[in-house]
Amino acid sequence: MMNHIMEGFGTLFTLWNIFILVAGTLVGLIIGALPGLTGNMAIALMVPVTFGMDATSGLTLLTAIYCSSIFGGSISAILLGIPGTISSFATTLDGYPMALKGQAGAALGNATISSVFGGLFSSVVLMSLTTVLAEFALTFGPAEYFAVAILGLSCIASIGGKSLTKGLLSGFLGLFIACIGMDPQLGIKRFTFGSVNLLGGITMVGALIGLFGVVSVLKSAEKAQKLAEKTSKMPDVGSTWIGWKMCLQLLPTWLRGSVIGTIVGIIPGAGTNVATFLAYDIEKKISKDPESFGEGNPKGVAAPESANNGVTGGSLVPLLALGVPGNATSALFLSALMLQGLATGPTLFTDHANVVYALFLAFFLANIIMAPLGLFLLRYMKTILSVPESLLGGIILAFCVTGVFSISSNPFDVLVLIIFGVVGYLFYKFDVPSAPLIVCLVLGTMAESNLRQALVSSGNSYSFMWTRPITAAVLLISVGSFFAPIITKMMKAMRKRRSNMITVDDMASSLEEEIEED
Amino acid sequence: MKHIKRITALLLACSLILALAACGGQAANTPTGTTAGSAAPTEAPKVDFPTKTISIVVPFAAGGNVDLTCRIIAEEMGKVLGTNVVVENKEGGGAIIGQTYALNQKADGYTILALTSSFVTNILSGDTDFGMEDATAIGQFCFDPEIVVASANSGITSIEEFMEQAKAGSLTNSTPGFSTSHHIASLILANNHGLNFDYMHTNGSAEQTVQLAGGHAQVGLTTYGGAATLIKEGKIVPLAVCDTLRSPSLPEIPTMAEAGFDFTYGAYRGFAVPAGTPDEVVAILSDALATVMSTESVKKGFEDAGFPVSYLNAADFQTMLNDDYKNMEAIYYLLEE
Repeated sequence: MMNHIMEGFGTLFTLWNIFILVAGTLVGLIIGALPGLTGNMAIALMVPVTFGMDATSGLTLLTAIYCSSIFGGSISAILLGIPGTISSFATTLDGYPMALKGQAGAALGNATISSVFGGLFSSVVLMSLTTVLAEFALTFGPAEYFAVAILGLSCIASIGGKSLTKGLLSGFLGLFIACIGMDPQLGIKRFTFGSVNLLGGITMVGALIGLFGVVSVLKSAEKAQKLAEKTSKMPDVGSTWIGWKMCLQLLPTWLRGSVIGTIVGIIPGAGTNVATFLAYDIEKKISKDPESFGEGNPKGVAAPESANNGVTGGSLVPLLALGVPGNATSALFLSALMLQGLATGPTLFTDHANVVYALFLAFFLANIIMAPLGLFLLRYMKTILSVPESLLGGIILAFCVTGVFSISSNPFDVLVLIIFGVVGYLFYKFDVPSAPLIVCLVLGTMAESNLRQALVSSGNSYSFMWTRPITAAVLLISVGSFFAPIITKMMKAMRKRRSNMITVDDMASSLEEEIEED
Repeated sequence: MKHIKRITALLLACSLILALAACGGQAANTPTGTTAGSAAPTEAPKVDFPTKTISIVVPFAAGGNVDLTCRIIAEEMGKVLGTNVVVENKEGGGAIIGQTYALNQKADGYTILALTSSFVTNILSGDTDFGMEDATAIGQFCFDPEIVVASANSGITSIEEFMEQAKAGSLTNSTPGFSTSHHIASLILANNHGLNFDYMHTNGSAEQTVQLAGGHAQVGLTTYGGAATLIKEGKIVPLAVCDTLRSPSLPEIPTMAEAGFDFTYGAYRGFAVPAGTPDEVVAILSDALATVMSTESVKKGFEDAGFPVSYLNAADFQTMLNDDYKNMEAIYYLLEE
């Protein structure tokens, strides 16, 4: 393998390729940071351009954009509370509160290093274990996908905010919206009201940017009215370097996030979103201080950021080894490989080892140069916060509308944006969390489609839920994960009530009982 | 850079040869005004076309199969026509959104629709505001025949075994989605030969092939490109090609006809313009497509990406579309339960 790596070095290290690597990383960062514009879109536009390049340069360009755009999404998530893409949505949950507390610098630095860690971890896995892990990807049938989607859904109870009822209400609304569109097995049109625009369901990015982008603009408009006289001053963002001590503290979080991201990335079709939801949720559950999540806990930024960059490497594993793209972006990599006349599969590793290893190295390097480039760019980007809110709102709104329209230049997507903006604003007024809605909207479709497929292959018997070991195990974990925060909440309420009436000793013994019951 | 030079040189050579051929054929009555640059092999056009950028509307996402083929073509087409040809992606609504958009543009030849089998099925679904008569064919550039495949885990190794077990109605058939061309191909095959499948509709061809390779579904119909690696790996077994000729990629696999079953079906891709476009403009575009599809760079691009080139001119493509409509109309009730 060492000589292959050296060969890869030889192929990659030309002035032109290094230039492409840096330029691609920069483009990815910026595109990722703009709400509505996704790395996927940038890569789709670049695929035909790679046709005129040699294989290594073309793949280097796509790799650089892929890695850095995923990280770039965290910039707007943290600074503005608007996730540019669904994969940086979980980062908003703690990144934005950190920024509000004046720790924007620390949050951005944290996101940078977490992304680099996740990216490097997954590229090492990609480099060393691709052929071994590819087989694993094939063991996932519809039953297993269904279980993974349910596991992702189970986290709504914990990200649902203070009121369980309101969290569930938001979640159920998300599940309902996920039903809009064509029935996946029978082709029956559901809630489309004769509109072709609704056949494929609600555009996710439109809904996401509406719920977060438009709402954040409306919120700042409210404030601007009250503070019309005040001039805004440059807020304190603090240093972007988080310090070695913090790094050491976050190391276990990064490792967990990267492992989750890489594994979910390898499973074709599971997607970046599931990985970030899971990483965030697990981090919150095992934390000694789960209350601080959502209030600006650095781990809440580190977990999803290391996970979403972990997905990047993982998603290329089944692609290179089996020709099966793990997500929409790696499908574009497949197109680029096809255009170069390179067939995926084991022969790719023997016949075109120099290209494959150059790709691996490009992956590795893109993740490394992402850090200095990101931190450099952040120095200028964080000054965004010094723009008066009343002006910033208009600028953000313009970006949101342009971004959403550019997805498929369909005015209907802008309508989706507006409607979800209104829904989000009502949610905000009535203190209903919008996070569960997004999670359910994204995963509801996946859960339904796979449940229906699993039922076809089992002859309409639900037995697959306990006869297939992976499915059964994941579903069991999901049930636990869903009820754990509810039970803790109830226990706490009970403890409070009792501590008012009984002595400390009694309370201790009753607590022990409760733990045993659990 | 070297590539671009080589391609340009080739293209120049091609257009020169064509121009010479055109001049030679009509030497007696060619007006002296004909320049060597115009590559149209038909009579000198009466209209001044094109004078501005032409856009090809792809009703699918960028980076997909249709998009890729169009982009390979667009570059060459621009050179042949001496103008810019750009690709616009308008995806969504099962391609209806992009199709509606393209067919509602001015019928002047500057908006071309990338037309696939979904055009016909969408019209039959009744969800469209347009009908067959609203599009005029330019030509077909690609026909990708369906291939009957089985999961290696299923133990099925020949088309005969496939037919036998499918008649018994015990096979799970994985498709890339409800009413996709692979699903429709399966429906027609089943209808013609009295087969019965349990359909498992996944989300896209990547998922379909994974389900087959992992043994989660037993059989399916697909095209060669997407399953190539898994076929080579032996995880997916090709059984028969639904074409009149064997596939150059799978020379040892019989056609359905050879195996004694009459069935041809495949995904076709071509171009159309809004109805009402002047005949001269349609002819210019159709001839340009013919020239483009015979250039080496396009042929190589298609071959490398695993798309078979099969050109049909405007008249033949129109006939084929009308036939497809009739065939689809006859089986459409199968999709409506």
